[in-house]
Amino acid sequence: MILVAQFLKTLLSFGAQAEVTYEPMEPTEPSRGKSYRVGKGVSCLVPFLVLGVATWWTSSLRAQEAKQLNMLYVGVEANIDSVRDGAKSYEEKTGVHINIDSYPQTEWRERMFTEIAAKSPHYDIWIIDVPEGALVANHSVNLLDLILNPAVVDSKLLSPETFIPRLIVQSTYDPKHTWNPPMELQMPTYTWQGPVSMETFQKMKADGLGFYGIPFHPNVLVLAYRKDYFDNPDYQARFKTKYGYDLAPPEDWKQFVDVASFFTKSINSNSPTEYGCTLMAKKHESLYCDWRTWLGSYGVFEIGTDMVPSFNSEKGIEATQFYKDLMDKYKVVPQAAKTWTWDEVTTAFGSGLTAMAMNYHRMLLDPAIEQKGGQAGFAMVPGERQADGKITRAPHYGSYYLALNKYATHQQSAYKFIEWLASPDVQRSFAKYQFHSSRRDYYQDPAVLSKWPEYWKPFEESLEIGYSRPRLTVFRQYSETIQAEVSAALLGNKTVKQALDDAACEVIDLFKQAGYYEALHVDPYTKQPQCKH
Amino acid sequence: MKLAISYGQIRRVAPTVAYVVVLAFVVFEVFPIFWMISTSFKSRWDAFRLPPVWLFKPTLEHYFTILSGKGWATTPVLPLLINSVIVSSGSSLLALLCGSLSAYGLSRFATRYSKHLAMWILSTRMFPPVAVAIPVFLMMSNLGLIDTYWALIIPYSAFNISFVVWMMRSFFDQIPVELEEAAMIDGCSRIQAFFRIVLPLTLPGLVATGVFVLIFSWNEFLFALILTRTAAKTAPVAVADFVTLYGIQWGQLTAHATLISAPIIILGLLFQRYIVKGLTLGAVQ
Amino acid sequence: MATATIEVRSTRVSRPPVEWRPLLLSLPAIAILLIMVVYPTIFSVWTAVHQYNPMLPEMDRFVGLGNFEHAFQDRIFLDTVWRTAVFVVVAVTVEFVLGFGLAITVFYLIPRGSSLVRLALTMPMIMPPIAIGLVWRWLFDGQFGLINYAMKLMGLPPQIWLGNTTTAMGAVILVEVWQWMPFVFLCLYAGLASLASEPIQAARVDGAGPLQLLWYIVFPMLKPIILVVLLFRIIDCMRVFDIVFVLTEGGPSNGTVLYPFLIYMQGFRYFNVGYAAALSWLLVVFMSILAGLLIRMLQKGSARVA
Repeated sequence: MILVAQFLKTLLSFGAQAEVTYEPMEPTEPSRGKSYRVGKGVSCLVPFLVLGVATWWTSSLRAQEAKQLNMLYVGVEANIDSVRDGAKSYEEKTGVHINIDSYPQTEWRERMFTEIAAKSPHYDIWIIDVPEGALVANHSVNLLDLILNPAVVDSKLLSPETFIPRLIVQSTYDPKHTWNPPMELQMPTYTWQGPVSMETFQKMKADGLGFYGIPFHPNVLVLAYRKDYFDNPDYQARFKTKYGYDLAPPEDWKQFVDVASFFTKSINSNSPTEYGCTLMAKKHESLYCDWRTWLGSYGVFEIGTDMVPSFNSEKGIEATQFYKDLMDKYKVVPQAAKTWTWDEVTTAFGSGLTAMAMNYHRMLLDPAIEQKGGQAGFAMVPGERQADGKITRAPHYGSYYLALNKYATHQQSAYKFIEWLASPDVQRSFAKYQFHSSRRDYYQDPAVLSKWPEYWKPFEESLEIGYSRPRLTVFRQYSETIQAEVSAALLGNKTVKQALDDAACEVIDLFKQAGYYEALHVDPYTKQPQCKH
Repeated sequence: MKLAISYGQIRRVAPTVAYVVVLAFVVFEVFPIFWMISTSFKSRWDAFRLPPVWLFKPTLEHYFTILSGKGWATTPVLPLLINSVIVSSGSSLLALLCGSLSAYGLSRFATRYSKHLAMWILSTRMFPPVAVAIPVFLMMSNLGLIDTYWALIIPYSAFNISFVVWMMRSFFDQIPVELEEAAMIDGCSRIQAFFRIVLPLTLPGLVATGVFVLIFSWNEFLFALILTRTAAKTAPVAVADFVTLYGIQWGQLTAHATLISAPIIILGLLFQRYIVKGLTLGAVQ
Repeated sequence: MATATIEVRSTRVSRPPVEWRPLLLSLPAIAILLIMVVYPTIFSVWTAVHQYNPMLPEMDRFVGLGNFEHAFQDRIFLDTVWRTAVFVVVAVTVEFVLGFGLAITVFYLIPRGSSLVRLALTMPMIMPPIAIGLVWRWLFDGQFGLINYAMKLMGLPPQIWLGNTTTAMGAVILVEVWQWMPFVFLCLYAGLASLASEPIQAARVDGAGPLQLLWYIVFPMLKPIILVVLLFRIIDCMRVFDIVFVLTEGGPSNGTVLYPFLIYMQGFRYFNVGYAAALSWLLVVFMSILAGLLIRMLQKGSARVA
């Protein structure tokens, strides 16, 4: 305050006369005392004070609103339109207002992070995407306490039997360490193989696991193709002559290369499209997802139960090499795909550049193309054909899930909302928004199937066999390490083997820093001796 | 300096060459913006047709969509723009006021510590906002200011003060002290001298500085994202909404970007004239 | 300003021995800066010596200089430092040469077209960086971009601009220059416009040619403005983040990661807040040293002492 007074005095002293007497330029007023000057100075501060008090007062007002829940949500990645719709219906039904803040995925992640860093109680409900799951689990409410409490749960709304079994594991974590290798290796089968029932949750509780969210809006990699071209008898005839079997959405990798070559102009000058397929090979999460789909189809798990990387095995190198060859050797994928993510893939397919593409949602074609008869068809992604004729497919999948903030206060009412929002009937009402449901019965409902049946069937089939990520507290860094190395291999800066070996060593360093090997009492260098330094 | 051709020849050719060169640069600078604005009037798929569509049927659909809030952005654009106006003008005025005062003091009264003070003020600019975001959020969260205008006005002013101080100080330095002293001998107080002599002379500098400060606050993204939720969300934050899983929504994105940029462009237009007016050298006598 | 009643007292205000007025006048500025500086500084110093991840609070521990040690052993860090240095030098040089050249050209050779030029050149700085980044990303796109289209028209082979480390870095520099060269131009133009005309007239009368005028009269008179502009551009180029974030996201295999983006990656992607804080401090220290050196260097021979 002394400083402020000094500051004002300095300002005001500029108004004082210089040392020379002169006639005043303005009518003089009787000199007032020092208190007057200070008073004037202080009165200038009053508006700021008022503003400050008002801000503080209104913010405390906001905190008192009880009949409201705050939700942090992503955007179109998890179909925000459906959720807004649902929130409105819920308010009509119960009078509880759901305030939804929606952000695109990257921004959502940053907001979540800052909120958790401050242990902020503001948001009651979060949507969580699996990569962040291991980090957020210990800041979320363990729903088992609510689900196994008969006073809270409504089993008709929760309806465990209708869940697609593989989605349950997405929000199931061991609170002691929330990180683990892919579920097939680590998590008990009842968490991902089904059938799902209340018993499942009781078993989880008995095993000391935690269930941290209700699965909501899964995504899985699905193949899209130009049905109009595939149904074209002229192309069918030509394909059969050249390759000896019928033109159809490819089931295994060999067929994939054949079909893609057929639709690549540089290989087949009659091709209506410039390229057969596209990939999302930019140094981005999309590359990681693509890469592991290929790896999974070759039967390779990225990490073993001892958390030691196993992706640089022979099969892993083969799978990655094949991915690279699609662009460089077979040339059925544009070189520009090395800078594309799932956004550009949509554009590439939609503009008619490629005959096939893989993505996590139903892709649309340019209306001009549709007018000329363009049609999009969908199928499961191809896989590796085994000796016995069976095909191993491993479409990458993940799920969002609705979780509750541990630091927030209205946990029970928040639970009632998410239980309702994820219930089968409510999810079914979102069909008009092309909602990806976590319920099996959704995909059998005739009303849902009346629109876009060509998409829902392969989508659900893919979900049932999806191949999910390892869960890591350092997932982002893990994924980016792999992205950087695989990207280097794709650009030709390293051989595939070198890139994967380097990645393995970097991942081991990362996991060591994260404390995984210490917790498991494992020496990673026995399996990867070249990484020892 | 001896040259092969005469100065006379250079003097004749120079303006034409200058025009060509300057025109080339202007086109280079303006083309992406022109492309952006024109795309906002194209239909969704025209945006990336090759060969590029120069003549097309203009459509206002994207503007209607984002104004009504039914587009990919999750809120209609008008409230966001209003927030941007409040936050930007508030922080700019605050920065200009405090910064100019400080610059005047540093310029007119040399002391032992003014160099250190100036360097300290400059150093506040060096900390990358990315690193400061979390502690600022924690601080604002504890003060209960998240999602209010103050949460953005204070950081933006703080970021800009260093710029204002250094720019205005160099502008003040150019005005000889003798002018004020002469005015004060003629009977002005220092404040009057400041307002009647110094300020008009440095007005172009003040306006230029003010414009830059405003632009920075207007376009700032990271802090606006972190420190607001819905009530105080500013326009740039919503631009990211248009990069979607379904492809980059060029029509709505460019419409939104154009709407954000328009007020600033208009402002620049107005102040350009002001700068020109203020430049009539007459005061330096 | 607070309206002060004009006191008729012709008191001689006794001057304090130390001149406090600059400090007092700077009080409001200092107050605002302190709010923003004190807590974040304490916080970031504290986290820089801890291994701190807010999502995993149970793993916090004091590591002393461990974060700094780790930085200097991290290949990505060292590459980033080098890359950022190269970026700053190249970008600022290009911006300055082009901006200064344009300012001189427009001011002396095209005075009538100047307001139009100034208006046009103001536009790039006004645009929200995100929108600009996306627009340029699209222009550079290997398949759909206009640049490659133009190359094809001219018969040149199209490049995957953002897929190759060198060209991606070039793209980042290009966008930065594109956006901020106008800043240099406008500031220098304003400087030229506010130059006193007597020295120039006098020199002309004395028979100085245009180049001599430029070098011996105009350039030295502009030194204060040039210094400030250079200083700010260098500091701002060291803080470039938006372009990298939108255009390349770190680029083909970490090839366009600039220092602030590395801090973002560590702090906001991997949540290694402690490590990110350590990196920030390294940057601040380096920038302060650099700024101090710059100011001393560029003021040699100039009348004004900071």
